[in-house]
Amino acid sequence: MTAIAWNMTAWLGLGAVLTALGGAAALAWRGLPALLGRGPVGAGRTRGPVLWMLGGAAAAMALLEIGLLTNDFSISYIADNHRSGAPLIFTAAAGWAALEGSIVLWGLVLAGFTASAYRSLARPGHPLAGGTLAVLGLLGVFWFGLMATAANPFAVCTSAAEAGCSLSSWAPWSLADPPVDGRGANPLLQNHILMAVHPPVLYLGYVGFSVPFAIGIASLAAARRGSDWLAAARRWTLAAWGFLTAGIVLGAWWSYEVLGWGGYWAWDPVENASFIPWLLATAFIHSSVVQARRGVLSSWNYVLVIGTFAATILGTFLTRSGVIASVHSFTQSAVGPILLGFLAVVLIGALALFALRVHLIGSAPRLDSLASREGAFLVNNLLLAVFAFVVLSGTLLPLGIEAVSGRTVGVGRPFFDRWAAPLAYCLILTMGIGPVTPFRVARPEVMRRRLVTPLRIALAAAAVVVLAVGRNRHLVLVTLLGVFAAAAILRHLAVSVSARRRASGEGAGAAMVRLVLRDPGYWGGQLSHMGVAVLAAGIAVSANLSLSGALDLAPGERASFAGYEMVYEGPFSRVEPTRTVVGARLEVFRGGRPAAVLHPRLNDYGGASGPIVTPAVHSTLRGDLYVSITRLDEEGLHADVWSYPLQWMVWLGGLITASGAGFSLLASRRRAGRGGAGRGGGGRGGGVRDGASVEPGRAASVEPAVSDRA
Amino acid sequence: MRSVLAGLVTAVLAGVVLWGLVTGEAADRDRVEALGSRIRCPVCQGESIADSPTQYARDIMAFVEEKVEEGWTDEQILDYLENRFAGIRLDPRFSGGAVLLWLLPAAAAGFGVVLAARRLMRPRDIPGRGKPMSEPDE
Repeated sequence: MTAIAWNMTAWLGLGAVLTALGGAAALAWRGLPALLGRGPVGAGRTRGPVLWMLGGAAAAMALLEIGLLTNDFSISYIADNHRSGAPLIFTAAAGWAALEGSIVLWGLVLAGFTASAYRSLARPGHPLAGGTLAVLGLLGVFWFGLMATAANPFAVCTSAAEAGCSLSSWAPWSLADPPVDGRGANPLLQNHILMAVHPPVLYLGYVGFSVPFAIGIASLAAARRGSDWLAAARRWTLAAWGFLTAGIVLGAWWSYEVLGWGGYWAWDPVENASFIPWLLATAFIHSSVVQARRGVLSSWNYVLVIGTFAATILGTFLTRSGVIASVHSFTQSAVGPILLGFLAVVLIGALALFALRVHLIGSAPRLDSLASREGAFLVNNLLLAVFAFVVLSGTLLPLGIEAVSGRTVGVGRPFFDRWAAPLAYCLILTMGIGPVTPFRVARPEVMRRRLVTPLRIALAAAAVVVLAVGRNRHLVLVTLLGVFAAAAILRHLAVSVSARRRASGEGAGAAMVRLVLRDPGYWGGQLSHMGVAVLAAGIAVSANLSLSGALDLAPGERASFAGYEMVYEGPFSRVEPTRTVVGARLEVFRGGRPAAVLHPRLNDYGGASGPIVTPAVHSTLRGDLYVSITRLDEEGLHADVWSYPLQWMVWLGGLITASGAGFSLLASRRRAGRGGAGRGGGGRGGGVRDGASVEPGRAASVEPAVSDRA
Repeated sequence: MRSVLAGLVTAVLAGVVLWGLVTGEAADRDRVEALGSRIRCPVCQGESIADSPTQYARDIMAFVEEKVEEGWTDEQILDYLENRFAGIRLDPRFSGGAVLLWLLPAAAAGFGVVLAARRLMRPRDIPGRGKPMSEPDE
């Protein structure tokens, strides 16, 4: 008698996935008329499918988490990626630590964004809502379809291995043969708490770009005249961009805290894969302002939105197919070719649609002058696009060359650094000049007035660096450009605030708050720019003033390094449920006073990969002391040490950059709410207005023209 | 008088900065370390031998250090290693397929500049020449 086995998690899980798949398919079907240009689709018709999609996706994620928490090893994903007794946070994080689970998270985020797009577009009756939801439904069909077939997270373990699962079956009625215990997650992924946070934040960014893509495709497909797609696409891009920025910074931080090689960014293919969409989205955030204000770059904006989305799929393909040998490619599976096919469909389909419609996108008026805000935006977009292209070709060309000629070409840090440094310098310079440049035509005397003081401040700061720190070319240049950009922005803020005070008689604080809230898109952007300046300075300091050395100490011995005294007190070890920890106790003194006790460790998770080197970091305002064990035996401790001055600037700068997007979105939502305007259709959230300048006497020429708020 | 003084101070500051930029070095890095960061660790995944903690990478680092002390030039060391392990350089030489790595981005930049320039040079738009899909907001 062949019994139908009741593997509850597998049955319910598959049911949840199929529910979401059905919802996505229904959404695509119901939105299709709008996508084909046969008129708008009412919000009522899309509401049900959106809810089914969201409910199914949430249930799938919840079931996977419940399975993990209850050690349900009849599910092969859980058997392969979890071990009983793992700490709660890593048990939960195992839900997205490997391929199948990460797609479940992807699906949940996509469904969440779809529901959010329904709320902010369909309900207020945005003309593109139906088409947008149809495209999101199609994307949902792909991802949930993937979950139901090639990457089924709820496959049943039909043959147990010693640890984990050796055979599994798609069918939930298969007879389960669960292993006694699971294999546990990849050690690197359970070594630090950031691993529980970094992937979800990164996914919010990655998946978020699906929405502007869907809006752009809906606009192209419906051949709608007008730029009403732009404001919505920009708002969504801004949200996704903020998450992606935070996700990249958290990932760099994780790499620094966990991988123990003493760095945070290696131009690793997977890092590049997240950086390419970041660059393209940054370009779009800027160029969309130009279109909103001056009507130029309209077709370029479609290209950027499509490119950003395609870059996220490419990134997923690179990460998840194992095609590129990389420290991050934890998984390899049949999903690779499927993702590649999806990427091809997306690119060919979207670009073909673009080609069919490009004649309608219209020829915008030409720029009046390169010396104008739109000229600066043009330069900015050129730089960002070339930057993205450099990273793309450095990541993909080695693969192509190897495929064609069989010759291995190594491309790494030196190649990327050589391109990235000059491009970054030009970008920072643009960042200082662009935001204070008027639209249309910038008269020389206006620019002089706005830039001379910042330039003097920057020269003074750079001169201090030359005299006090030394003639280090990168440091001097970064100081010069970064301080210039920051000073130009702050001067503009100060001048605008005092102009407002003269006009309204408000106090300084109130004037500043009102000024900033009046144009949150612009000032949120400037907050991000300040973050980039801090980040650039942090990167330059950390790259140019870091020191490295090696420790070779017997117990009780002492060494001095970069102003620190270190005493190796001896080894320690302890057994934890999922790992054995062996480490060294290192007492650190600075100026004769005890500063910290560091515990660099080797964490052994019992796998074939051997112990994981876990560095210890002593962080202060002055900088970081970073210790990573290379060998630990009876004779003593062998470790690499680094000193990174002002390392916190990198993390802080990155987070300020991300928070600029958050500020823009939240403050403009508040404005829209207070103004009684619908957040959908006409709501120019994310501030496409950009840059209502209040330079005395110049205000008239730059008064924002966008007033179709209500 | 005040503006003359301000100009003078600015000029002096600019002079100091220029001096720092022109005579400055990139980073005062150890030659062995700098070379190590240009060499791929053959047994690792995407790391340089300067970054990798593996024994193999350390052995190559030791070899590099030895050759630096013997007075080999950077290129001699890199060429020697390249002959033994193909693709070991992280900044590929300007030859073969790797040329594309340098030419493609440059070509893309040139293409972009031409495109942008055409945008600037284009005659002012003629009234009634097709209705733009995206209407300017002003």
